[in-house]
Amino acid sequence: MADFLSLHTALSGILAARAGVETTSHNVANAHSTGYTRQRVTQLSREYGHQTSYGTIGTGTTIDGISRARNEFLDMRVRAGLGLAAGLDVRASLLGRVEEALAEPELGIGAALADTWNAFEELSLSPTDPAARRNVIATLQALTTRINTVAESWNRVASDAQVSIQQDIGEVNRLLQEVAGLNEAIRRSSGLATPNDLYDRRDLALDRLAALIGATSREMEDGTVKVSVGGLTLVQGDRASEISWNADDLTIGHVSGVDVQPGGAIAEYQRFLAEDLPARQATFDQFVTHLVETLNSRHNAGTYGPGQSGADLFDPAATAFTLTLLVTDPYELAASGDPFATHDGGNAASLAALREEPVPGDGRTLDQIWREIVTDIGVSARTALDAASAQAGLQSAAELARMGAHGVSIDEEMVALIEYQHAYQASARVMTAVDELLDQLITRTGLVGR
Amino acid sequence: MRITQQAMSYQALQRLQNRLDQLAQAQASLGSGKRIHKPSDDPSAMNRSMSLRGLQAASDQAARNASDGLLWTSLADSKLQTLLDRLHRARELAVRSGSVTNDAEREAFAAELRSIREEAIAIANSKIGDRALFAGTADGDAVSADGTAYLGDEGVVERRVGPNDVVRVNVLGSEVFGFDDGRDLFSVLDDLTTHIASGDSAGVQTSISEIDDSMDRILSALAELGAATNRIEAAQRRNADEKLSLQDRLSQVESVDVAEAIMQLQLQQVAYEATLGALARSIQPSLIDFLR
Repeated sequence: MADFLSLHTALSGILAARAGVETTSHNVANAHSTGYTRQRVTQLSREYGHQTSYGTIGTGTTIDGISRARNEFLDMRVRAGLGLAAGLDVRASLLGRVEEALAEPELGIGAALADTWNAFEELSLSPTDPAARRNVIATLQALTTRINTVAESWNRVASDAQVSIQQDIGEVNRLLQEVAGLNEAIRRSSGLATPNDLYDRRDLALDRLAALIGATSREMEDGTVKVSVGGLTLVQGDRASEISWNADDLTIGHVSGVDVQPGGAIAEYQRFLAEDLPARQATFDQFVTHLVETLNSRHNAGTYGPGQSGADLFDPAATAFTLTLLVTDPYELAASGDPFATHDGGNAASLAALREEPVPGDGRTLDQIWREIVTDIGVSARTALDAASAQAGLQSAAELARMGAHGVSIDEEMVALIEYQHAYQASARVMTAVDELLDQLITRTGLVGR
Repeated sequence: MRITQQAMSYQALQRLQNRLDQLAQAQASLGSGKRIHKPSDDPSAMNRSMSLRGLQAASDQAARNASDGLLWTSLADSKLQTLLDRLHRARELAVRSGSVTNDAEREAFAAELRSIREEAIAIANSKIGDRALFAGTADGDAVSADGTAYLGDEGVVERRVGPNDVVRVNVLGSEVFGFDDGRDLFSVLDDLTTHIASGDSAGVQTSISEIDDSMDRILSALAELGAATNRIEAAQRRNADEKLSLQDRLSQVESVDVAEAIMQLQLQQVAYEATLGALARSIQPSLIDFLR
C-alpha cells in the first residue's frame, strides 16, 4: 500500500510544479501589462498523512491557491499622490495658459501702454500734425485690441476648462459603473476561485478615479470595495450613483442632493473656474476701469478744433472684454490745453504724463498696476509649476515602489521556472523509482525454485 | 527594494525625459538669447524687465523731445541773430544819416531802412513746420504783414527732455519785438525812416535809443534761448548715458550669459548621452541571456 501512496505523492508534486510553470508563464506574458500584479502558486504540504504504527507518513503537496502580490498600503500611498499630482498638473497648465495670453514682455499690454504714452507725447510736439494724430488713434486701438484679446483668451481658457471637467465627470461615471460591475463579479466568484485578474482591473479603475476626482476606496468583507469622494459614497457593492456637473453654479451634483467635494484634477478645474479666474478677471477689469477713468477725464479736460471739449476716449462702463475706443477721428483728439490755441499740445503732454502719475485713489501708476497684475500671475504660475514638479517627483517614487512590489521581474520568473522544472523532473524521477520498486516486487519476487 | 523590469524602464524613461527637457531648455535659452520668455520663468525679473522697458520707452521719447526742442531753440537763435545784424545796420545808417546833407542820399538810406523793416517782418513771421516760430501757440503769422500788430498769443511751448525736466523752447514775438512795452520794433524802424527822410536829427536820436532798447530785448531773448539750448544739450548727454545704463540693466535681467549658456548646453548634452548609454546597458541583459 505504501508503494502506491508514493506514486500519488510524486503525482501531487508533478501537478504542483505544472501549476507553478503555468502561473510563471502567465506572469511572463503579462510582464508589461498595465496594472498587472504578479501571481504566485501557494503550495503547502498535504495535511492528511498516512497513519502507521510508527507514525504518520506525509502524502505529498497540495495547491492552496494562487495569491496576488498586492500591497494595500502602497496602493493607498500612490492613490493619495495621484490625486494631488493630477490636480497640480491641471492647475499649472491652466495658469500657464492664463499667463501665455498676456504675451508679456514684448507683445503685451505693458508695451502697448508705453507706445500710447509715447504717441501722446509725440502729439504734444506737433499737435496739428495729422500723422501724429493718426498715430495716437492707432496706438489706442492697439491697446484696446490687446486688452480685448487677453480677456477673450481668458474666456477661452475658462470654456476649455468647462469642456475638460465635463469629459472628466463622464469618465468618472463610466469608471464608477465599471467598479460596481467588477464588485458584483468578484463577489459572485469569491470562494470558488480567486479572480486575481478582476482585482487588477478594479485596481486600475480605482487608480484612475483617484487621479480624476480624488476618490478613496475601502475593501469590504465580501471582497467588494466602497468608493467615496469627500465623504460621499459613490459605489457600494454593485450599485454606483452618478454625479453631474452644473456649469451654471460650478458645482458637482449627486442624487442625494449634497454637492460632491471633489479632489484630483476635477477639483482644480472647479477651483480655477470658481476662484482663480474670476479673481484675476476682477483685478484686470479694475485696471481697465482705472485706465478708462484717467484717460477719459484727462481727455475731457482738453480741447480740439476751435474750443470743443474732448469727448470720452473709451466707453466709461466698459470691462476688459467690451472695451472699445469711442474717439476714432484723429481730428477729435483733444490735444490742446487752451481752447483757442491751435498749436497748443498741453493736454497731449498731460495725457502722456500719465506715464508717471499715480491713478487717483490708488496711488500707483497704470504701468505699475499692470506690472503687478503680470507679476502676480507669474508668481502663481511659477508656484503651481514648482508644486507640480515636486509632486511628480514624489509620485514617481511612490509609483516605483509599487511597481517594484507588484510588478513582474523576468529574472525572478526565470528562477521560478527553473525551480518548477527541477521539481517536476525530481517528482518524475521519484515515480520512476517507485515504478522500479514495484517492478522488483511484481516480476522478480516469488521465483524461488522456478 | 525589489526592482522589476517595468520599474526600470519607467524610471529610465523618466530620467531620459528630464534630461531631454533640460537639454531643450538650454537650447531654447541659447537660441533666443533670452533668459525669461514668460512671467513665470522669473516673476521678479519680469517685473524689473517691464519697468525697465517702460523707462526705455520714456527715455527714447525724451530724446525725440530734446532734438525737437533743439530745433526750436536753434532756429529761433539763428533768426534772431540775423535780425540783430539787420538792426546793427539800421543803427549804423541812423548814425551816418546825421552827416548826410543831400536828399537823394537820405532817400537811399530810407529805402534801405524800409527793406530792413520788410526783412525784420519776414524774420518775425519765420515758420517752424506749419506754425509761426514767434507766435506762441496761435495759428497763422506772428506779426501782421504791415508790422503794426502782434497776431500770436502768449502760449508757452515746452519740451520734456528728461524725468521732471521740462524746458521752455519758444520766445514770444510780443516780448521780443517790443509789442508788450508799447514801442514795437517795426514802428521804431518806421519812425526812423520818416525821421531820416525828413532830416529830423532830434527824431533820429530818439529812434537810435529806441533801436538800442529793441536790441537789448533781442539780446535777452537770445540769452534765454542759449540757456534753454544748454539745458537741452545737458539733458541729451544725460539721456544718452541713461539709455546705455538701461540697456545694460535690461540685458542683465533678460539676457542669457552666452558663455554660461553654451557650457550649460554642453553639460546637458553630455548628461543626456550618458543617460542614453546607461539605459542601453542596463535595460538589455536579463537572466535569459545566460540560460542555455
